Amino acid sequence: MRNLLAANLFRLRKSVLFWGLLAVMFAFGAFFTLQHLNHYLKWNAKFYLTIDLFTYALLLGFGMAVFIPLFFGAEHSDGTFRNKLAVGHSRLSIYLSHLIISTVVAISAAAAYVLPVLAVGLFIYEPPALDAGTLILLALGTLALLAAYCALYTLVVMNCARKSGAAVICLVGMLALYLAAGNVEVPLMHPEYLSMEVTDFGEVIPGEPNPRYVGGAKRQVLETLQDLLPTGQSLQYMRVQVEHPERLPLYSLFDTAVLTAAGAALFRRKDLK
Amino acid sequence: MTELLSANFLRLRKTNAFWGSLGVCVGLGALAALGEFRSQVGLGADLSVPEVIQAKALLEGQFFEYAAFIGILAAEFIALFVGTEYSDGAIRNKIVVGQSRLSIYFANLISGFTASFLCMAGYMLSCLAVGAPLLGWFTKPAPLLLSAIAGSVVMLAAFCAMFTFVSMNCAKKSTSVVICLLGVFALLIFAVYLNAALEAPEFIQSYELSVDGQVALAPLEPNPMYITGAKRELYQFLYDLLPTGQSVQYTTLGFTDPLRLMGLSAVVAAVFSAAGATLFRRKDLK
Repeated sequence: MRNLLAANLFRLRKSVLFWGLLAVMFAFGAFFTLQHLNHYLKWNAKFYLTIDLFTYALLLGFGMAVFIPLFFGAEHSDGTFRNKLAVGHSRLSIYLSHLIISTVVAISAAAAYVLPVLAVGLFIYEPPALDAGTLILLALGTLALLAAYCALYTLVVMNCARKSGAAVICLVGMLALYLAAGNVEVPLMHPEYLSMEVTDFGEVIPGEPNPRYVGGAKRQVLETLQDLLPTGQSLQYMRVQVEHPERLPLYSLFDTAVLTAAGAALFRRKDLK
Repeated sequence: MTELLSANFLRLRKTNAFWGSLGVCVGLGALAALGEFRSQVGLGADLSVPEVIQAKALLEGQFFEYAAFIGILAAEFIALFVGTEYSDGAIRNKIVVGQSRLSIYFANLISGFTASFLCMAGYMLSCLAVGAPLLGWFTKPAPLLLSAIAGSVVMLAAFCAMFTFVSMNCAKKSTSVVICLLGVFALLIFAVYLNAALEAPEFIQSYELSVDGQVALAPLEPNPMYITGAKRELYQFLYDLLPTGQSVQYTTLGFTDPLRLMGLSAVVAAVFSAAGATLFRRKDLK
């Protein structure tokens, strides 16, 4: 396993794709920060530090959908898998080493994004409206989310022998998951009542009920789906509107475990030709 | 050229990516109409009353959705279809048997366009077949609908020209898939950004509470996000020029000058095809 990791890390150091990903993520962080800096200088606009701090959770959903098929997809076509098996590595350790390396890449790319945001943001942004504990929980949650994305794409890449096919499945699948997350979110956003009235005594009297409001068991299912879908989590982290910050990392770990178990089981039976 | 085209169409008939894309389009068309019907019924709308149908224009809302995603579909399909020719060495074979590079390029462009057009037609037909009985017929004026359909066909040609440009000049299939798909995502996001910038209101209306507790309108304030002058013209031009900007306009039927949009798409298609064919003529095919 250690040999596999070392070999992959060595390949990573020489990979244009890896350095390109880091550069693009750094550029995104710098671009968002410069836009805010511009508004700050022009109109003295105020921003919380958390604005765009976790946007990498969304960007890397796409970034890793490109990186993982392109970087690991070549192992099928170049016959690297067969070589690794021939020198005595188990399929499971090959699978896990890929997952670990992908997660390391995702976390490095997130760091490259956060660097410019913090470098400028600490000076011009307002301190975040959240307490330190929640902030740390959110940060850890995004890391678990990145692991879930990596688990998803690793499953596809390890079990799809065609590099271009894997790239299409990952990218289009990512888009479909975003649309799914949007479709889950929209019904949840409708308020329960169309109007509210506040009496002189501060009592709130609900007005007409909203026919679009979703309640009961259906609401619970939608909320669970929103937390379970990595893309649903990405949208929550991006907006820093996380209802259950303690629950999301657990869902991500669950996603990672299930996807990895399924992917590894499939890969063990795969005919590598 | 005719031989190349008939060979490509034969390959098309045997390509899973084509049948898969067509199936997805037909399925999406039916699902869009069915989903809209279910949500309207859930809201208590009585769709047997002509006035309700007239007011909501439901079929239009779903029918033109294809303009939003057909670019993504064409990106995926063309990159895979053309990329396979590279990896299998089919391009070299075609040259060996005496076909010119120019005719290979344009045969691939036409095949990619035809396949994407069939997918688009699949969406329209299934949306119409399921939507017309459930949601009622179109209510907006026919010239508007016809110009949107014609315009989106020219827009599709512009998309196909762009993706053929990339796929014919990039020998690695997986790389051209990623460039085409990420490119179309990026252009879609850019179009939505342009749309938001152009739609920003000129003035901001705020409210203030007067002394006696009445809510009154405050004087209008100029919106700092409103863009004017040359910048506004540039944004509008880019929004009309980009096929993804046109996607947004055709999906929402929010266009004013269809001839301008078609003209700009034709220019995009011509420029990309000319540039792509020129580059491909000089390309080292190894």
